[in-house]
Amino acid sequence: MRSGAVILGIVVSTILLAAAGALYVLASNNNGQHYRQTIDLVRQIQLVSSEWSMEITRVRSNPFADFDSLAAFIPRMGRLKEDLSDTAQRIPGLPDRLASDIQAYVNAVEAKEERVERFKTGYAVVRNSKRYLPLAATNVLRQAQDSKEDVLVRNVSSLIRDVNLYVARPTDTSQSRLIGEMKELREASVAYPPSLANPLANLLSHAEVLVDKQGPTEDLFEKATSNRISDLTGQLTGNLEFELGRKMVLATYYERGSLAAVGLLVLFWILLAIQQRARSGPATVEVVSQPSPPSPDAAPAQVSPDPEPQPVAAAESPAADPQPVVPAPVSAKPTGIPATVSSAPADSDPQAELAHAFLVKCIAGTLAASADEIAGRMDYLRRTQQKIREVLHNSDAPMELPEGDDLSDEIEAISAIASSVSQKMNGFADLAKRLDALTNDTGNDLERSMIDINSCVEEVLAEGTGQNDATVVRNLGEIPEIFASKTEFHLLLTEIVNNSLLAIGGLEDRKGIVKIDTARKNDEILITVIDNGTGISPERRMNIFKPFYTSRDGAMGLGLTLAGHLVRKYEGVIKINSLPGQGTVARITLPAGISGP
Amino acid sequence: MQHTRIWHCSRTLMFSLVSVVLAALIMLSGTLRAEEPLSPIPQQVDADPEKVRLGRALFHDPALSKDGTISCASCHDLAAGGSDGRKISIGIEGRPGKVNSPTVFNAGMNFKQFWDGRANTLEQQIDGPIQSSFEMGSLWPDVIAKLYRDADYPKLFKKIYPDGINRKNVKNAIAEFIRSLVTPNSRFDKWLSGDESALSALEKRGYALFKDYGCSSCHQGANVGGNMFQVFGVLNDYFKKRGDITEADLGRYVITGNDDDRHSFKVPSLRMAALTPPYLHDGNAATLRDAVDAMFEFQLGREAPDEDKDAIVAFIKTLVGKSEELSK
Repeated sequence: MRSGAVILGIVVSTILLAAAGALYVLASNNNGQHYRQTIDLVRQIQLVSSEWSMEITRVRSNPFADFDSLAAFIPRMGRLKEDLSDTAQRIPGLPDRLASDIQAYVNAVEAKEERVERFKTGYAVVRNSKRYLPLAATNVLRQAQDSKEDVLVRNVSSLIRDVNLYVARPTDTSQSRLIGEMKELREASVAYPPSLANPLANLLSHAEVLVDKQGPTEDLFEKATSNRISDLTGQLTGNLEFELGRKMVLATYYERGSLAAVGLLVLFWILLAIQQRARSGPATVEVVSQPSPPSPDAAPAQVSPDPEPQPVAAAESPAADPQPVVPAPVSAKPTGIPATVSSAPADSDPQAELAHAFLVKCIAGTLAASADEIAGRMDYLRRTQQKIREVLHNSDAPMELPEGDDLSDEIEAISAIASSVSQKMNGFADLAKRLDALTNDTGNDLERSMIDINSCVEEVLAEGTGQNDATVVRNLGEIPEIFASKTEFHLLLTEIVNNSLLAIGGLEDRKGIVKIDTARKNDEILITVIDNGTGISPERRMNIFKPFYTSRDGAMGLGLTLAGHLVRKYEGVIKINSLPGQGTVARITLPAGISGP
Repeated sequence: MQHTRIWHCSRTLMFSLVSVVLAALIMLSGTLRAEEPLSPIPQQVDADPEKVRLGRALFHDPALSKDGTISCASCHDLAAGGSDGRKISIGIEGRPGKVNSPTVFNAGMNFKQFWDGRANTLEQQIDGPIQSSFEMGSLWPDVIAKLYRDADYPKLFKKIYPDGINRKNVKNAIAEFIRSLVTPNSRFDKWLSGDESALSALEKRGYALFKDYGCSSCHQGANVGGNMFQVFGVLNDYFKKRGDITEADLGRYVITGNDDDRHSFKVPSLRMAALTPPYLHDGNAATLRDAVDAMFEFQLGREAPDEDKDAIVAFIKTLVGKSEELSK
């Protein structure tokens, strides 16, 4: 194998392996594991929130209940909340909308904590005053009766009744009436002796607490046990599940892409090996017929009819002619490409070179697109990391920062990885560009001359139909010669004709016919290849010009891609119409204007 | 055959009876406990002994402060009940703090940390005193560097924490030590568990009054407090009477900015109150009786005879439990 081919092999292998690896990493990143954990955590939080609400209801129903059980929910919820935030941060490429949904959810949990605390604070005071009120009323009434303060007894009794009614059902009307009653009693208390004024002041203080706080505490209870987290849970898990589904689809694509890259690599090596073998065949034959300069590549010992080696001549003459003269192969391709008419080096097959260059070009294009996509994703990762870092830096309360040093290191590591991958991807993109440029150069180097398309058609038919018993109908009109590369036109026509021959190859119910027309219409040359073969389905027709798209085993899917590329190169148009089961029409329109040198 | 059946029947009957009696006892005991707003401190604490040992060393190490003069134990003297006996604690270079230092005993049972409850966990709380300029005044990188230079800490940390000395692990070790500082087996807890002789008649009356007057509305649970916030001055305005309102007096309002939280504080545990005067967040109540007076005036809005208040003080003194650290 030539060193050029080895280098090409290594370069292409590296690129394909890197692409496969990158796609595999992307597939792993999109396996949705963090999404599932996040959904699970959200559901756990919802569950704990419901338990918390139930516990609040239980505590409220028992005036002696302590708050330990309610307080125990704080660390429990705190851990879940932290886990949720941490897991969400680990999701690669989490959409901003979902990130803010999760933050809103965490905020809702924190708001619930606040509401529970406010309820506890208010409820403790209210339940104490509620318990004390009858005792305070008894004290005042006893003192008032002893002092014969009948009006006070009546007013206090009325107050207690109204307070009890208000506690049972707080309304604004009863509240304002109570406030008025309490104000009158407070003003009247100045005239009473301390033995009566002090218990009355105690009673009024606690009645005021109930009037002030009973209603709000009921509100606080409603809010603390409200179902807002339940509503948010449904919404958030729905959105997360949707995104998870999307990720799974993406992961499948990346996985397929990764496998395709590996497949492509294998195929590439097979093709390379076939090509190199095809090259080495005629060379060996040539050495047999022209044994004079010993070739380092060939193995003349077994095949040479001349038993006498000529080491001296070989040693003395390498400077004079270091390369063995190898004529163009005559049977390198099954279609039988004739000897080249261009000035390409004698040891190469220009058509194979062209096909090869085109393969590299296609790989380069695919690689560049993949590299672009991966670099784009890495850039997103870097921007996300930057945002996280800014949030952390802006959080100036030292104790509220997560365990700073370690997290910072992790964030920096993410950044470094993103930069490194982006850099590599830039390298790949650059490499792809250079490969592309290289193949363009190769293509442009092919020498152009005035060629007759009709004779080119004849040559192609002569090669192609030799292996096939198809009926070929020619209708070659008068068309001007054009200034083009015969190699390229030969290849272009070969691909089109071969496709037709293959399409009629499997026909059993009828005899296959291929009809080729050439004609001039105004300033255009029309080449039409019609067959009555198996045809192409509409789905396939959509993709036939895409690289690596094929429906035939062992084919690379580059034939029509190359044909399309060459037609475009000569500023022409190629159209393929087909009826499945009935046949295909390939029509190439070339501007006759390209005939001028 | 007949014999066996009778034996089976009687055995089933006995089993059923025993089950019913046991169930009734369990229910009865459950009901009794549920009626009490206070509960005993658990005997066992879930704390890693290795971390507790390391945390103890760090807790007593002045290297954690900027100038090497103050350790956690300076303001939380374990032998003295977990506090320093000062009205306001003194930090590095003699700088006065903002509030009275609370006891560290049973602090792991508090639902939040600091008077204003700004830390949810002990680990979070440790950032406060270490970095506060009027407490230990350190920067974490300096603390970590000092610990690295020590002859023993690197080995001790490596033994417990695979990632060695870092801020997270230092905090975890100290927090684990504080979590281990519980005081079970108080006389009151023994009484709660059924030992009638554990409390005197006065102390029992004090507990009854503690409930009747409504102290247990806020000071309840195993820690006799430490599980909720309450506004200081529910029925009368403490701060108006005292004057000179400081930022620390605003309590939780400083954290939340919500008007409802103005002068709201974490209800302190009364478990070690007997050993840790002075009292209140500003240390203005010199004795337990002063603190009880303040509570009656500002929180309960009630008057009570001296003998009732003294009985309550007597009851509070029965809440102190046992800990090895108290006698070290």
